[in-house]
Amino acid sequence: MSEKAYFSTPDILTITEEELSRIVLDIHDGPVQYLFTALTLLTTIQDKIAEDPAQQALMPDVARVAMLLELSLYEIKFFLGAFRSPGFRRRSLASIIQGLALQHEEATNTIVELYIEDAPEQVDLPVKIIIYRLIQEALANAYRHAGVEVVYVRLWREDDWIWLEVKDYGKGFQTPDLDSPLQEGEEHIGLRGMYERVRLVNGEFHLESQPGQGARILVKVPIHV
Amino acid sequence: MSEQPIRVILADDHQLVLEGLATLLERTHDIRVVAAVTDGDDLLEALERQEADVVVLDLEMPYHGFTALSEIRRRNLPVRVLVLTAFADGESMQTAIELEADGFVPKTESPRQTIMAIRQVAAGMWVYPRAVQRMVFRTRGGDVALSQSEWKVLEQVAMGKTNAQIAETLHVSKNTVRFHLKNIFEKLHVANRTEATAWYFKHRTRYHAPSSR
Repeated sequence: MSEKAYFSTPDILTITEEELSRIVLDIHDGPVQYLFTALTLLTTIQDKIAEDPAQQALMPDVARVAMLLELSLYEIKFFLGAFRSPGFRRRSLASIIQGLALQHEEATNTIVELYIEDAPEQVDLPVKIIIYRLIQEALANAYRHAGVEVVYVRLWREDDWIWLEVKDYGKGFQTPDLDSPLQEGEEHIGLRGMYERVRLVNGEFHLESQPGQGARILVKVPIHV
Repeated sequence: MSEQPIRVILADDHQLVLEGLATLLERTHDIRVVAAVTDGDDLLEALERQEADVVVLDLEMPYHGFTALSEIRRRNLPVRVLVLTAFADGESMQTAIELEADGFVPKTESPRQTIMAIRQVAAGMWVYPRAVQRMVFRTRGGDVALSQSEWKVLEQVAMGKTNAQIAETLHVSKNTVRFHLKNIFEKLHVANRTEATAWYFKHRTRYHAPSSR
């Protein structure tokens, strides 16, 4: 890599977030509003049909269309929720993580036991992004694979470092060698992403898991990069 | 229930959404749309001219929906606010709570939910997704409806007693203690005795035994 890079490596995280925000906004302003309105109008039509015995035969098809619209909205909701950047610049790390836990609980109907001890007020932007996206990925993994109702997230500070632990008592798995080169169609792409992001800021990433033994991720990242 | 209809102001910068919602609400017998506006300024103006029971507010309006909401609260306008948004993310929910919206409904849910939420908010209910209710409960202590017996068990737990000791002290069976404990953990949203104890010492002065409330 050239010494005269135009932006530092962690900047790429910020740029990615900004790109994501744009896509999310476009979907929000277009398809979501259209789908919601279509569904609203269809609900009105359903009411009218219900009042008119001559139109009853239309009911099942209209109901099917309504269901498809609802399903589309439901899936878009997850997409928007997952990819929308929280106010990384405006908000404190603690507040962002609390919001994330709330969002995850609402989407999955599971519990995030969150313990934030002495979170620093001023944290560099790339570090905030890394921690946020890392917890998000870890929660998603636990939800998809661990089969548990509760995930424990703990964050604390030691000197100029932020420590993060995400733990569940679920199914566990055989841990991959994250230092080995990426294989095509690799299973643990999410873990790779976490690992690589943490390395971008010279942090440390530990993963402990075994089948039947739950999983624990322990991360240490600098507050300033 | 032949009361006055619920007077609603719709505030959304998407004209299509406004029209769709107005059409839907017109067909209800108990909700009347008294104004429809497309930005926060117009909303505040409409509220000066027009009495309303509920504002259905899109958060992402120009002259931000949240700014309008905080202004409504600052001026103490006697209107309930239901946030209707395509973003059901954590940040939006947190902000709605901070600015004391009365309800929060995602546009990603069926419009019938919106109608229901308007009625509930008009009736003075606090309409939020369940995870928000849990969180508020956790951070504020919430309205903890522990029964008299549950409080007694919790006090004993906080003193470090075992189930057997508690059973003996309270003259009940160990099964009864276990049963109360399970309910206590559920109501307090805690996972174990340690957390229940921590909750007890944090909240006991604020939420004393129900007999004294």
